[in-house]
This record gives sequence, structure tokens and C-alpha cells, in this order.
Amino acid sequence: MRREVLMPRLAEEAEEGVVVTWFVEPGGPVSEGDLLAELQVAKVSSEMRSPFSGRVVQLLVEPGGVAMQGVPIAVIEEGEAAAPSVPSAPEAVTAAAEKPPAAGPAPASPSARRLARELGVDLAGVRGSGPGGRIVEADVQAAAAPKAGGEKKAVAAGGTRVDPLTPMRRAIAERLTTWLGSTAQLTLTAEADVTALAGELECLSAGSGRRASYLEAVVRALALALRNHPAVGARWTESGLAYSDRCDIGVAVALADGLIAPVVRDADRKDLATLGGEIAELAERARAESLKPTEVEGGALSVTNLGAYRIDAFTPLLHPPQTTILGMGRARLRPAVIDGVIVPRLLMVLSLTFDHRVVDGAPAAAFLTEVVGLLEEPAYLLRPVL
Amino acid sequence: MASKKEQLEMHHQMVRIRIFEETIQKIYMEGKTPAFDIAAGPVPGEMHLAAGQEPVAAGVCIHLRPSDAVTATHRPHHVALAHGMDMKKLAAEIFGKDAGLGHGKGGHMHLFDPVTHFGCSGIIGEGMPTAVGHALAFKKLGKDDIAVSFFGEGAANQGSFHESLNLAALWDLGVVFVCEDNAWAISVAKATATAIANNSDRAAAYGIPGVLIPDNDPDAIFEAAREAVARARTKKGPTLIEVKTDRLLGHFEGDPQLYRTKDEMETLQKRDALNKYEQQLIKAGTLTTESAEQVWKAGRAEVDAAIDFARKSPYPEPDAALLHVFA
Amino acid sequence: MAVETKKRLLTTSKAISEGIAQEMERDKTVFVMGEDVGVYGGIFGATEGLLAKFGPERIMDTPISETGFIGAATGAALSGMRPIVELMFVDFFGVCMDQIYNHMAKIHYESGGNLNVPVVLTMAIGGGYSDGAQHSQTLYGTFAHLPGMKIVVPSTPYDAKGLMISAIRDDNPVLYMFHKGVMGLGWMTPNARATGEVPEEPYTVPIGKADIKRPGRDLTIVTVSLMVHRALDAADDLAKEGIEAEVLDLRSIIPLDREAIIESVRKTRRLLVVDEDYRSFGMTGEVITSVVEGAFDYLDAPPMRLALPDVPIPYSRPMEQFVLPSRAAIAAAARSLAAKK
Repeated sequence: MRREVLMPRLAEEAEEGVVVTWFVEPGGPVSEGDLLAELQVAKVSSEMRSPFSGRVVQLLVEPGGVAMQGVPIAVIEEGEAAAPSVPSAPEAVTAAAEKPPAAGPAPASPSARRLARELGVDLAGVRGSGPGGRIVEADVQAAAAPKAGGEKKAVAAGGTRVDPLTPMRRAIAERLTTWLGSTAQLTLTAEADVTALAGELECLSAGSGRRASYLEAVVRALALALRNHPAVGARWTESGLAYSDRCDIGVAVALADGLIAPVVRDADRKDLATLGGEIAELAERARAESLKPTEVEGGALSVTNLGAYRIDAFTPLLHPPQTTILGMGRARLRPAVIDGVIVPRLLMVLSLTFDHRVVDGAPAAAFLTEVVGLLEEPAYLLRPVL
Repeated sequence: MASKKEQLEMHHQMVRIRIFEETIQKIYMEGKTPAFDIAAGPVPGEMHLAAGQEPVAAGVCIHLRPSDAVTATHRPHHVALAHGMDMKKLAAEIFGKDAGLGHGKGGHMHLFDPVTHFGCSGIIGEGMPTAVGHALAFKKLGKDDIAVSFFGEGAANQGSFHESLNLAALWDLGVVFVCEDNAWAISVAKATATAIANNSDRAAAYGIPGVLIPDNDPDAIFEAAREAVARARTKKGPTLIEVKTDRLLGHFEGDPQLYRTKDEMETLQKRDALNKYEQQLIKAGTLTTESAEQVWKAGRAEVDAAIDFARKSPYPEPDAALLHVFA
Repeated sequence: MAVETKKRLLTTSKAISEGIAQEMERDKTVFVMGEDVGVYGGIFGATEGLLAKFGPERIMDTPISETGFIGAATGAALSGMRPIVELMFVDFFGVCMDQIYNHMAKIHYESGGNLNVPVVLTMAIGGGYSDGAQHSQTLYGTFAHLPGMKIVVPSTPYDAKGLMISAIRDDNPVLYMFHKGVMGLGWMTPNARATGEVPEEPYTVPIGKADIKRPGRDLTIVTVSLMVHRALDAADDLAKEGIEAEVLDLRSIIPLDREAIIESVRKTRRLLVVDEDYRSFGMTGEVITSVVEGAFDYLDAPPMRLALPDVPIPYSRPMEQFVLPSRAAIAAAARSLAAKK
């Protein structure tokens, strides 16, 4: 039966993607999980694997061609990647016929036999893992291993465990390394005195019945500072730097086996209580895997919070295709010097990673300075929004 | 002399062939721009078009029956169409479709039609010995069908030319050898490749008549072919006809023709035999401008229908490649 | 041996014509004959620019008379010249094979070693662009079966120039087969691997020596010509899955570098031979047999081969692509070979 392969949603912000290369050809066999195509969205590449086994009937997009998400890009005749009903197909042919052996000793490959001789292993006692029960070199090696006893598994050297890669793990690896390679990332750190802010958040919590956190304050501070420093929210494109006219902030949420960053819209126009509620709701839906695709795209920059752990500062990686990300460390009581006196203050280190292709060091530092300023003098953050 | 009816028929053939060749020329470039890629588009591979050489096909094939065997070259369309090949099947084969003459296996250079007893291939000089064989079979079977072999002036320097003429003469076979001298073997001019001026003079070496038609004139070709075909059919033996014809386009489509001067190309356009013949027929009252227009219209409609058929036909299944090796 | 001087990029076709030009400058007995080798520069660019440099006495356009001019090349070689003669498409060998395999290839032997026939016979091979059954073949298996001729098949610009210079300097008949798809021609499907670094000065690549184009530990892919490009592409795909394929470019069919093949398979234990020539009675069988003879005790899996099936090459694109070994098919075969662990 003919099945369509659809252009998948790849990255946060994408209506369409490019099919860069096909790894299959029309008429050729394909197995489920085989590499099907290399796709690309906003310079970020990822591999697509075939969802079906069968035979490729048609490739609907030329290499280099653009396809909208959800649009069919290939047609596969599902079924066994079968031999055609005609004489000898041009598939790889082995030199020997693959007939199951008659009763007798299991067949062993020549190199298995050689190794067995060299190591003094009796082939009769070796179980073959090759096709038709053929004993291969690895089987002899396993049999010769001194702590062999009980179950013999075809294990990799050292007996380590191998967990197959999930699509999310692959996607994260692919996207982050590609983006790292395309950008000039570096990190600035600055310490913010959040003592006053903490007090204000206590009041808010008491008043609203909801625990207010540093996160929404930082999100609002980022949004406000972004208005004065639009470059940190700009994106590198071949035709120029693309500025957003909104202050949408992505908030990284840890998942069971990965992470995702839903976007809070217009964070400059929402008060802390609203932001807090929205962030919590997005995080909950993120963990339940029920975010809508539009909710993870379009952020001008993102924030990632490791404050719940004993992390002071770090070098967060940019979220493709953004230019800036702010890492939050923990707020901790530490000695500070105010008016020549050492006093305990609540201090939090902010780690700002940015793409030097788009923003230079001084403007990035100015942005971070403003964010720190907003957090240290929170009156402006707390002002109600009209 | 060709009758008016025969002249009109030749004119019609030349027009429909010209339209076909020019249409294929346009379609060939589909998918191959901006950067020319020979493998791309609905008509991939090489394409050798015969615009300018229509008079030879029309003037010779008008005397033939479908059961007469015809062999041709890598530049076969004009001969194939003039000898009665189904234009739809030809177009579909050029497009590589399953409904094509060879189920897409042969392509434009390797056309084989049992209905019109037509065959052609891309190896220079291969068609002449085959034609000799057809004629040999007709003789043994007591038929009065004949064989006609079309080839270029470059092929006359292949060993197979000499062997074929000798055999046909020796065994008294009904073959008409038609040499289309378009002056170029890809980029090699005839004067730099052939030791004598006219290949028709080589016929004497084999004791057969050699006829030279010095211009691309359908009526003159008609006359020479009529005689040669009659000779062949009445068992009086083979003939060599040489026609100085014109290759208006490149050796293959995409050929930049750097080896030809602009003057030559302009001269060729000016003396385009099809235009000349049409004007001649109009002047003689055999055609009117209106009736000529009708012929072009009919040709256009026929070609469009054939191309449409070809485009809409499905491709063969990829593994059909493994069929038809043996009967 | 490559000397380290200025590096620059050339297409394979330009590398070939440069090699010919440099030898023609060095040795006045070298000349070129063939159809359209002059003004046209060779149908596939192998003699581009040579007519302007050396004139029609040394770059000779011929009539379509292969028996005549290839036989003439043999005669000229016997009398002190070193001809380079082009048989435009390898598929045309049928019209002139007697001169090639019975005379050019055998006279040295028949003379008891007293006469040399230093001819280079150049031919374009290969398909994949819908040129049909008579213009798309590779056929080195056919020639390789017959004694007396060396056969070289370069896959890169560097190898192409070096092998051409070696072929011209060799006193034996050398068949120089260049795949149309590796020439880097502007009117064919673009191929990034058809352009590469080529040293400016003359240099040789030894005839009869294979080259590891990509080292690997999990299996050996033995191949030649355009299929080297396909195998390298497949190897890149396989590497993403943790399978490291060694790609061995034979470069010469005759002499066949059996030592290199055996050494590689002894290392990897698994063999896949990829060939654009017809499957049966050809290169793949010869390579596999050589491995069975020389590395039997090191095979951990039956050798595999991927070749053009025993059918004429069809014109229509879906069928032609089906019969040609493709990147995906090579990767799939390698995967199943490696999975026999």
C-alpha cells in the first residue's frame, strides 16, 4: 500500500524546511529506520529516517527544494523491501547460498576457525550469532573471554551498556552542535544583588496565594531590557540581521529525557503575577508533552534556570536559531561589601551567552548590565502594566 | 517527376517532421536550466535532431511500403516519421515511458518498430550490414520488399560501408544506400575526413550506380529514389544515392557548435529547403498560403497530441529493467 | 611522487589534458589521434586546448574509421612514435576490436619481447544520464580478460593526471578509461568529487597500485571510477551509524593490485565489491576470488558484490537508476555485511 512521508516539524520556528539530500532513490528498497533524507531548517540540519519499510515509489522534492511542514515529500510502497517478480534483482549477492545447514556442526567463518585455533577454543561449544547460526569471530572471542560463564551475549568490548538514541536525543545533539558550529558563542557573567527583589517576591506570594519566583522577574527584566537593546534579540540571516518587534522570551523546561523551551509572549507587557502563572502553565504542559507547535517558536531570546541546583554560573548554549540566552544560577546569601561594610546579601550570578556574529561584547555587556540593574532595583519590574 | 499529390505529401511530411524536431528541441531544454545538466528533465540523455534533412526522408520514404526494411542512425526521427512510425509511440519512447516504442528501454537513438520494419542505433555504420541482411532475407523468401539504409557522410569512412556495398553488389541484393551528406561528423568537416569529393563516386568501386543530388531538393531526391527503389524491387541490384543536405542544428542538442562559423549558420537558414520548397509549391499553384497554413496547423495539432500522450503516459516500473533480455 | 609546490584545483578533464600537454612538451614523439579531438577538444574534454598549443600535425582529427586509425596507432608505435589515440566511447570497441586485442596487445609477446607498442588508448566510459544501451557501458571487465593490455581507471583529478603521464611513459599498450561522470563537465550533473587538487608540475601515479581513499576498520569496499565517489558518499552515511568502511580505489584494473585488496580484507574481515560493469564474469568475480585465494582465513562473512545486472542498460531514467549501484544501495549492502558480526 502506498504511504506518504510527510515533511516533519523539525525546529522551533519553521513553517517549511529544505530537503538537502535524499539517501534513497526511486525504485530502491528502504527499511524502517533507514536514513531517508537530510533536512534543514534555518541552517539547522537533521536526519530523517524512514517510517516504513518497502520500496521508494517517488521522491516529491528535488534536493535543495523547499517543502512546507506536513506536506508529502516522498511516497513509499509499504511492504517487504521485496525482490521483484523478475529474475535476479541487482541487490548485493553473497558468494555462497544462504541455505540453513543440515544437521551437523554449525558453520564457522574462516576467520572464526583461525581464531579458534589460535586461542584453543573448541568450536563445538560456541554458539553462532551469524546468519544461519554461523559462528563468527566475535563469537569465538566471547567464548575465549575468561569470565565467560552463564549467558553469552554478543557484547562490545568491556561489557558496557548501550542505550539506543531517542529521536529527541539525536535532535538535541544535532541542533546544538550545528548551532555551536555556526555561531561565535561566548558567555559574560554578572552578579545581581537580589535581596530587595526577594523581599518583593515574598509580598507578592503572600498576596496572590501563588509562590512567586525569581524566574518571572528575570523574564520580565529580560523583556524590558530587550526593548532598549533590540540587537540581542536579532537573528543572523544571509540577507541581514532580522529584528523582532516583540519581546517574546523562551523559558527552558527540563523534561524526562531532554528539554524544550516554550515561549512567553509579550513578556514586557505582562506583570509578574501573570508571567508567573503563564510560565507555570507552559511548564506543566511541556512536561505533559501537550505543547502546541506554535508555542515553542519565535522567541527573541531564552532563559534557562539551574538555580534549583548548586549551580552558581555556567555557560549555557544558545537555543537555535537565537542569538542570546541567559543562565540563572542560585540565589545565595553571601558576603557583599556595601559602604565599606561586609554584609550578607542574596546574590545571584547571571550568565549571558550570546552570538558575537550579531552582537559585540560591549553591547552585550550593556544589555546584561541593564538586566542586573532591573533586578537590583525591582520597583520598575513590579510596576503594574496598563 | 513527382505528381502534385506526391509533392503535397512530401511537403506535409517535411512540415510535420520539422514541427516535431523543433518541439523536441524546446522540450529537451526543460529542466536543464539554468545550468545545463544532460541527465535532467523529461527528455534526458543525448538528442540528435534532423531539422534541415527532411527532404531526404520525405523524398525517399514516399516510395516505400511498411514492409520495406529501413535502417537509420543516431539522428533518426525524420526517417522514422516519414516511413510511418506512430508519432505517439515515438514521443513516448523519447520521454522514456512504458507506452513508448521500446517500453522506454531504447530511447531516442535506439528505435525498433516491427510494424514499419524500422531500426536504428547509435554506432556509426551499423545499419548498412543490417540492411544487407534484410535484403538477403527478402531474396531468399522470394519477396519484392526492399531495404533502405540511411547513413551520414562520416559513416562512409567506416569499414562496414565498404563491406556492405560490396556484399550487396556481389549478391545482387535489393538495397538502396542513402548517404545524407550534411558536411559535418560532429565537429569534423567532410573535407578533412574524406579523400574524395563525392561518396557517390565510391559506388563505382563496387560496380553499382552512384547518384549525386547536389542540393536538398525534394523533387530531385524523389526522382533518384524512385529509380533506385524500382531497381531494387525488380532485382536489378543496389544503388548508392548521395544527397548534399543541411544539418540546421548542432550535432546534438547542447552542442555549442564552436566549429561552425556564424556565416555558415546564416547561409543554412537562408537556404532552408523546407521554406524553399513551400515557396516553390505556392508559386506553382500547388499550394496556397492558406492551404500551407492548414498543413502547418495540422502538423502542430498532431505533434501536440503526441507530446501530450507522451507526457501523460506513466514511466515503467524500475525493475522492468530486468525484462526482455531473452525471449 | 607529488612534489609540494603551489596547490590548485582542476577538474578531471582538465587534469588529463594538462598531463597530455606536459608530456607532449617533453617528448616530441607523442601525438594525439581521434574523432573530434581537435577543435572540439574531445567530446568529453580530454584534449581541450591541445590543438591551439600543438597544432593539427600533432592533434589529428580523424574520419570515423576506428579500425583504420587505431591500427595506424599500433603501426606508428612500432616505428618510433608514442601515439595517444581516442576511441570516443568504449562502447564503440566493437568496430575495431581486432586491432586492439589481437595486434596492439599481442605483438610484444609474439615478438618474444623484441618489439614495444607504446600506445595509450583513451576511452570514455559509464552511464547514469540516459544515454542508452550503446553509450553507457564501462566494459573494463571485457578488456581485462584479454592478455597484453594495461588498464587504468582514475577516479580523481590527481590520479587522472598522474596516471596519464605514467601511461604515456609506459612502453606497453595502456587503455586509459575515464568515466564521463568524473570528468567535471559543465553539461553533466554537477559532481563535487570531480574537482580536486592537482600539482602544477608533471608527476606520476604508479600503474598497478590501488589507493585507500578512505581508511576504515569494519569492512572493505573495493571499487573503481565513479563508484569510488558513490562508495565514499555511502561511507559518510555509514560513519554516522558507527560503521567505518574502508574504500579501496583500485585505480588500475590491469595489473590488479591484489596485495592491497588482500591486506585490506585481512584487516577488516569483510568485503564488498562495487562495480558499474556487468556483474557476471567480470571485475567483482576476480576481486572476490583473489580474496578467497589470498585471505580465506580472514573472512568473517561471505564476500558481497553489487554490480550492474546482466542486462543492457535501459534508457528510461527510473530503469537506468534501478540498475546502477547507488549510494543508498552500497550503504545498505555494507550495513548488512557489517551486521554479520
